[in-house]
Amino acid sequence: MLNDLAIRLRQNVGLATAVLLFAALYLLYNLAHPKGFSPAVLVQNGDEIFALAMLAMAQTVPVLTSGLDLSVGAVMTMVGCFASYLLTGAAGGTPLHLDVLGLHLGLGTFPDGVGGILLGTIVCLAIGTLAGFINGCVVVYGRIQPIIATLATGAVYIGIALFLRPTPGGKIDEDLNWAMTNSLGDFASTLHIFDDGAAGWFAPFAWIPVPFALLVLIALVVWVPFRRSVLGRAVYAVGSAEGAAYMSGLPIERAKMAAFTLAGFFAGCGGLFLAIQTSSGNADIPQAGAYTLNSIASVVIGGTSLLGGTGSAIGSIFGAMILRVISFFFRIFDIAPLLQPLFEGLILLAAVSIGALGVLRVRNTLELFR
Amino acid sequence: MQSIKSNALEPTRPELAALSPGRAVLRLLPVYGLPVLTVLLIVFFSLVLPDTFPTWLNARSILADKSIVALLALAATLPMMAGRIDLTVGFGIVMWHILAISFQVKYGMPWPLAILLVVACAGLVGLINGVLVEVAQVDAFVATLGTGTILYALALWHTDGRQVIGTLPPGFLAINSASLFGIPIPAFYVLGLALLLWIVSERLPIGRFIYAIGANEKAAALNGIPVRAYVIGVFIASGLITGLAGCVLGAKLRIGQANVGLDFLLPALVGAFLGSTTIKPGRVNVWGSVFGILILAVGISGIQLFGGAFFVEPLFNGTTLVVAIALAAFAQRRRTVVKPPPAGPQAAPAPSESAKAANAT
Repeated sequence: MLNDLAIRLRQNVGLATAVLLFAALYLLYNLAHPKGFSPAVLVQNGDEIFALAMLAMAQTVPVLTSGLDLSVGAVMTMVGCFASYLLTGAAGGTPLHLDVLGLHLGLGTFPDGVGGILLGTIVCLAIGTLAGFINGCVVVYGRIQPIIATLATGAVYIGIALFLRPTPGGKIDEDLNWAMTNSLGDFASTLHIFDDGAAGWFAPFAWIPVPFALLVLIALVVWVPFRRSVLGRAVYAVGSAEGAAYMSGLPIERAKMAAFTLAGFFAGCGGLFLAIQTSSGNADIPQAGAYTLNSIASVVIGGTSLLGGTGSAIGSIFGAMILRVISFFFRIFDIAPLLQPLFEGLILLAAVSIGALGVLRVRNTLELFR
Repeated sequence: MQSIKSNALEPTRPELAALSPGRAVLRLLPVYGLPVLTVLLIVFFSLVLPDTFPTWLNARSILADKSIVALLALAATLPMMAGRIDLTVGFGIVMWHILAISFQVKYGMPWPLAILLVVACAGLVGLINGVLVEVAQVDAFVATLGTGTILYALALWHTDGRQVIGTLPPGFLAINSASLFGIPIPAFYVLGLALLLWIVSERLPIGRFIYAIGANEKAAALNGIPVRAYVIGVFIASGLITGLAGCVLGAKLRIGQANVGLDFLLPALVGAFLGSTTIKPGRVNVWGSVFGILILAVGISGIQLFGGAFFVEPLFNGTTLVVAIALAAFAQRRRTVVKPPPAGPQAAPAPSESAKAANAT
């Protein structure tokens, strides 16, 4: 039993390091914060963490197959721009039209009310998933290296986002914004469920921020079942030894498609939340690039190997949270905020260098080459 | 550690010799597809927009605008030949153009010394990258992402988020604004550098070694190629070129500002990847990178003269890359399908012998 635990710990040493580092940093942050350990701080942090955490999950799945997805930031931005049209919550619905090549096409009216918001959410997530599916098709059927394929599709998605929102704008339903970016209690009172969030049994949970609840929900409902499915295991197998996985009759092509599609879905979730949080759509190219690069950093810090085959999306969530907590520190300690990327870069290099310590034990240089 | 795979798709000499002239042209067409397409695009836009496109002004503006991206694409091409990706080309140029200006404005250095110092710093960062990638065995993507982020932070910190402004000597400004035979001088930097890199990569043993490392690191090491030294070397070279590009950008913008940001990273990588579909398909190569940047520049300029909106630029970059690579891969696959099986008495025993050898070992 103890032996089993030791093996499990050794297999997940990256994840354990990330969790411990995050716990230490977050504890320090709350101790130094004048209003530390309060639900208000937690809610604010949750809102800031969610989008990057989703992108980190998105990045993890292709990385497990040993392919990078450079389009996650672009998918996030594109979905956010769609959301700023579809989730306006304007009474009487939102008229949609398409102006392209001098043509003016009316696309009907998008429904309003709760139905409209649900439909809009589904459409946005579907767009994200479709973008991921296209990535998967280009990688699998186009037989293009993932890094090149997603660099290209990412540029296309950014182009679509710029087409939709040449300037930042749009609007998100206020109630939706309020419900999603506060605590579960506020969520319940906005939706008028559980006696407006005052039900006795609900009280112990009411302080939990919605983004954290969503994060756990998505991890449990989407990631864990996927990881345990045949496809999920095939994703890991493809990453650790594609040839062996092929010989064993695993569905390699479907595993890769699933990896990129799932990445699109996760990135879509991140984009949807970012749009809801900022109440607007913004085709911000530097932001998309920064999110993509940070997602890769999160994955590495979270203990997933870029060679593929080991790691998990849960670790990446903690990697994303570590990156975000570092940025929180700049607010409470008097450090020039412009130095923030410096610490992000140093943490990233430190994380990969720890992983590279094994190099010192290698006696024969040839073992280094894989 | 390898980040990019290299798979040569270009026709070999014996293969071309075996084909009839007509089929050889067909076989070579996809190989030189990108340059041909560039010429076709130029002809097309010249016919459609006779007043604005085929003008000296437009040609000059394309060359002046895209030369820096082309320099960066060449800087990115070198490590890619060895199978490594270098993201510091995008982050570095932010730092180097700021330093090139602030060395002169804040510290009163003469401009040749400023340029020399910037290029030396850039080479040093290249060395750090090389050591991280090859000695510490960190994945090149992550290592250069880390050093790049740090460089970017240092640039922000150095400028305090503001622009670095000051009067610059005309000699420094001339490295961008001068022109030779009426052509902006940065275009000659690209030409000269491309020629140099072409000779090094295609005509000297060094180039063969670097490509060999990119194709199969282990085999290269077993053949006695000093992998570590060459990989560190390409990173230093890439750093030096990025430093030069930074100086040209500084002379062009005349102010140093950190929010130039990642504007240069993606176009440079797209250019290099696009270049890997042509001339030497399947591998990044020097002229391919130059033509990759050129076709994007011509296409985007033409579309913009048409009155296309600014969102066209990323769309065009992305679509061109997907289509070009898919076509190159398609041409390769169709060739392998069409090629008749190697029949005949000599071909048959070969597999059985290798099978015997496999059994024996």
